Amino acid sequence: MRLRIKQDIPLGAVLERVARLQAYRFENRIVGRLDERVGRPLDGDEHAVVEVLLSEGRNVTSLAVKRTGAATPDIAVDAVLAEIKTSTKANAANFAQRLADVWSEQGAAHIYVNAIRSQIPADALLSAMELVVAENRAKYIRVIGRDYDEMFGRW
Amino acid sequence: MARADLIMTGQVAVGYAERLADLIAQRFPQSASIDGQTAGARTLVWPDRRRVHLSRGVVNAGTVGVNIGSSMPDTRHNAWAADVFSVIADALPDVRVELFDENDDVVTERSARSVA
Repeated sequence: MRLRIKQDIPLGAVLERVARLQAYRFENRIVGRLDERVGRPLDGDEHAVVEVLLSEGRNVTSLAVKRTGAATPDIAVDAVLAEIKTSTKANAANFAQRLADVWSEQGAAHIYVNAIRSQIPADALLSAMELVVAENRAKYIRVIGRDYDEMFGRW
Repeated sequence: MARADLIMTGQVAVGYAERLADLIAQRFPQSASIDGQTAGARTLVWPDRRRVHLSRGVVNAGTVGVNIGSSMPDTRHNAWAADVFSVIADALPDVRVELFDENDDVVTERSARSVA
């Protein structure tokens, strides 16, 4: 199954196969499992988010980058396609705009934001993320900061 | 090399996402325009998978956000992004236009004619 996920197949087919993998894990009570043998290795900022998810019992699968270079979601979380974005700069508007394109361009309506190193004040960043969801440009955004962990929308 | 993938323009009138999409389509006739997912948004796609998505700014509705994507190598991608930037900057002489890279650092900017 892992090999098939790695092939250049439509996103819907990727989702179907990840769902089957998750069903297998569910039936066998496998939780908190990270599988990054399929896709590209996660970087440090992405790992920080994934570690939180694993500690909560989520199963995470890293997805392969398509050979065409087309944008693809980073991961599947319990068989839901998701993207991890890291904020390191101070401009909330630019960061929000970057997220606003993820659903239409990469097919992932669920976004995790690593804001641990962000220079954007927490209230400004959270307001911007709330707007992205309110405008239906993402279904769900979870923001993990140094001393806060907030979510908007519905998983 | 940082990859340029986002242009944010300053305050513009309602409907400018569509107008800018038309201008970019004229400059790049190989592109095809499709409706964006959100109201007023427009997406231009190229046969080689380049794409430009124009939409109302999320945080400030008076701005236009332009997202640029391609599978080209960084050097070619950035040269193309600079061309898109020029089309937008030329169309909006009274508006500040900025081209960012993937880290949200400004690659190049064009200040508004009427703004210091």
